[in-house]
Amino acid sequence: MNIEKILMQVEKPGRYLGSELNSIHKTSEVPLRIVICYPDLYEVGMSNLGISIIYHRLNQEPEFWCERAFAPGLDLEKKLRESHLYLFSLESRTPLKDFDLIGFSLQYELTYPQVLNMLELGGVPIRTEDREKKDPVVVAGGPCTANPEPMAPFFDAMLLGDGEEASVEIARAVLDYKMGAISTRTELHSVLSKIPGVYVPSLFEPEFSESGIILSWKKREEIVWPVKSRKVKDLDSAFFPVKPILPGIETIHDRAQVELFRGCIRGCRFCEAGFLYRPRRFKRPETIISQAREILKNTGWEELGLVSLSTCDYPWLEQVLRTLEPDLRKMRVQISLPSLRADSFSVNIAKLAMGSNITLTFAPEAGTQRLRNIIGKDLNEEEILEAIRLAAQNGFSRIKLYFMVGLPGETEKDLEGIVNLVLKLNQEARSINRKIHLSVSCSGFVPKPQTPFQWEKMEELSELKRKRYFIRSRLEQRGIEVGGQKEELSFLEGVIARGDRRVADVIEATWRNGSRLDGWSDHFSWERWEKAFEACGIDPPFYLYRKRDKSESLPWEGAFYTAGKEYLYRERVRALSGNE
Amino acid sequence: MSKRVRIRYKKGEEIAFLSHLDVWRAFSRLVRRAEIPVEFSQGFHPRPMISMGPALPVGASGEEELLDIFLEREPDSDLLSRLKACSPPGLEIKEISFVPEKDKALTAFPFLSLWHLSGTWEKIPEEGFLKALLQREELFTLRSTPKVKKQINLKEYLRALKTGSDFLEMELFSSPSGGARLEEVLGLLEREGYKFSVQAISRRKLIPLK
Repeated sequence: MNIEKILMQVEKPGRYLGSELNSIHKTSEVPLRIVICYPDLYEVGMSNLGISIIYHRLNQEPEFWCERAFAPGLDLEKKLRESHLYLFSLESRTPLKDFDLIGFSLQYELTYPQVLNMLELGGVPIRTEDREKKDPVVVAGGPCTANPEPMAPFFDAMLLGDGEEASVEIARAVLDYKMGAISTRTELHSVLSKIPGVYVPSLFEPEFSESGIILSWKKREEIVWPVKSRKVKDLDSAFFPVKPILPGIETIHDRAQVELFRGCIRGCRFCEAGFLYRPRRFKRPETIISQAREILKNTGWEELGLVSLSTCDYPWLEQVLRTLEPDLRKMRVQISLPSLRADSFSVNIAKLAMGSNITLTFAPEAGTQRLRNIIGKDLNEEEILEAIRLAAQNGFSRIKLYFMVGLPGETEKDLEGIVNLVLKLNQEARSINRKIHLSVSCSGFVPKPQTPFQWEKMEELSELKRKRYFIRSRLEQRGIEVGGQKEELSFLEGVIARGDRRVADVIEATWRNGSRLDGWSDHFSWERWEKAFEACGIDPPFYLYRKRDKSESLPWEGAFYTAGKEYLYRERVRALSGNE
Repeated sequence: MSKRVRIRYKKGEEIAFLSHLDVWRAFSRLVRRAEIPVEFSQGFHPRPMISMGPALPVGASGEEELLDIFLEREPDSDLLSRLKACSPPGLEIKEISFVPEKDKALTAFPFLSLWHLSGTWEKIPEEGFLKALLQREELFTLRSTPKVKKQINLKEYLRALKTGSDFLEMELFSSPSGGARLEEVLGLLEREGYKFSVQAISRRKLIPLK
């Protein structure tokens, strides 16, 4: 059995093409072979802008060839195992074990078991301590490195923050290792730790008290502690891929993507990304316009996404849209503006740029002003109402509202507040347009690291379920659908995001139990995780249902983003004392 | 010159795993890259007017595939070279011709297709067997989809068979009202004791009939 023959027998073999337009093929004589991996299916991974940036950035360097690998579909995995074949890179069909450097993007906690799966299927020892000289160096980056510890044993190094330049510096060090200028893996670790933003788990280790709390960090050598995340200062001069790969099959965000700015001007206290990507860095409109034109010319995509954490906060958005309009009209390219605010400005922009035949999504997040103040969501009821009115008047017929339950300081009144707010918005909208379809997404809040709520306890699983049921039962009576993330997923997201190095054993155990694509509801199994917790002696409530003391050493203490502990704590006090 | 352009193209082995819809999407992006003055459909999501010929299955390559592109005006003389220059890996534009705009759709033609399947035989059919097979009155096989089960007479579609130690070639007739599937012919041969396991599929010729 060879790979091509196996691909004849799997569903969606178009996932494993490798020769897509703008994909990069060099000769295998290139000194350093790199593969960048995304622990989810091709359709998801190819929609990720970070992967595209790093892939094309590394390939700019003549001494590197960077290829891609994604999670195999379950059917392909089965066939690879039956035929004793290794997981391979798309471009050259090389087994992962034959690369010098493997990089993973960590975007979502539930994909962690797939990281181990890809390594093992690729013939690479999953734990750093088991890797020898001939084995690849395995690194990671992406927003989940906000707390690197639960995945620490599996990576030689983890990058905190922006990868545009750090990825190249890491690869250079690995090339030195390959060429013999650095002789041992231990020495390589030490060299990697000197690159700003690079967290090297083997150089330190948490020591736990009997009750399981981190007492101290035992350092193997003099290291910078905590590791400060890497920031690109100027996005205009930073590398950006204007000749991205055009996927062969349809992906989840199948469009050209141009980043407007990094960071966010809002200070929502629940939002991890808002803290990780500080400070806010705008791109100049001219840069955005020229990048958008080039990408469209190089790909032929029918849709252009202008992306950021809060698109309508880009000060020159209208100028960008107006300037691009003639080009877009000529080739019937549609605009996509994700992450809109529930205000009239956003509705007007949406109408102008995308027309009214889209689903407008707004995120009031909480049902009362009091709770919105606590979480720092800068939005009042009148603004939301105005936005809905305007949307209805402008012919938008599908509106989706996002809420969270289990927020710190939440009471029953806040749940009623969600119900009342939604009903009020629905009534308002329908009084203007009878055909408006309003739907609600309601998910459990996970107190994330690097935010002012990092010390809070997470709401209990049964309570999250009760709260969503409370809202759903009341709204569905009135014909409004309520969806949202399954509570078990939020629970697991919480344990992992808030976990320490011991949680790594759970991730390995659940993978060995068969967890593969747990972010996909049809592949998710709660039992596999329950068994894994039990087998590893890990008690999830210890990580979730315990308010942490300010003096407690947190598992993510070694990762420093922009907001320090003191600042975050002050914000927490401000939030919960009611003094906005 | 007409505003309807017929393109003969090759779907190469490297993109054999793309579906018919994926190939359509590849062309819709190719015409945008090449800045071809293509006509767009009306509505909220305008699509370039590209109508595909008979579908190739996922996993098959094709040497002489067909599609029509409708333009909003008569094209410049460099149409072919622009299409060629902007083709993605695996898609090769072979030739273009102009057809009357009101001509019937490609999918309304009967076709004769020449399929070349490479792979391995458990037992190679003898020349005489193939000849006799094609001369039979009927070659019924059961086609079952989740919705319907019906008998298909392959005799109506199967025009020629040729084998070698590592290949199987067949000529199949198809029309808008139906055709035979490759796996149905393979199933027929297998039931007669000649099992072929496929490594690669290519449609070598695709001939529109009157």
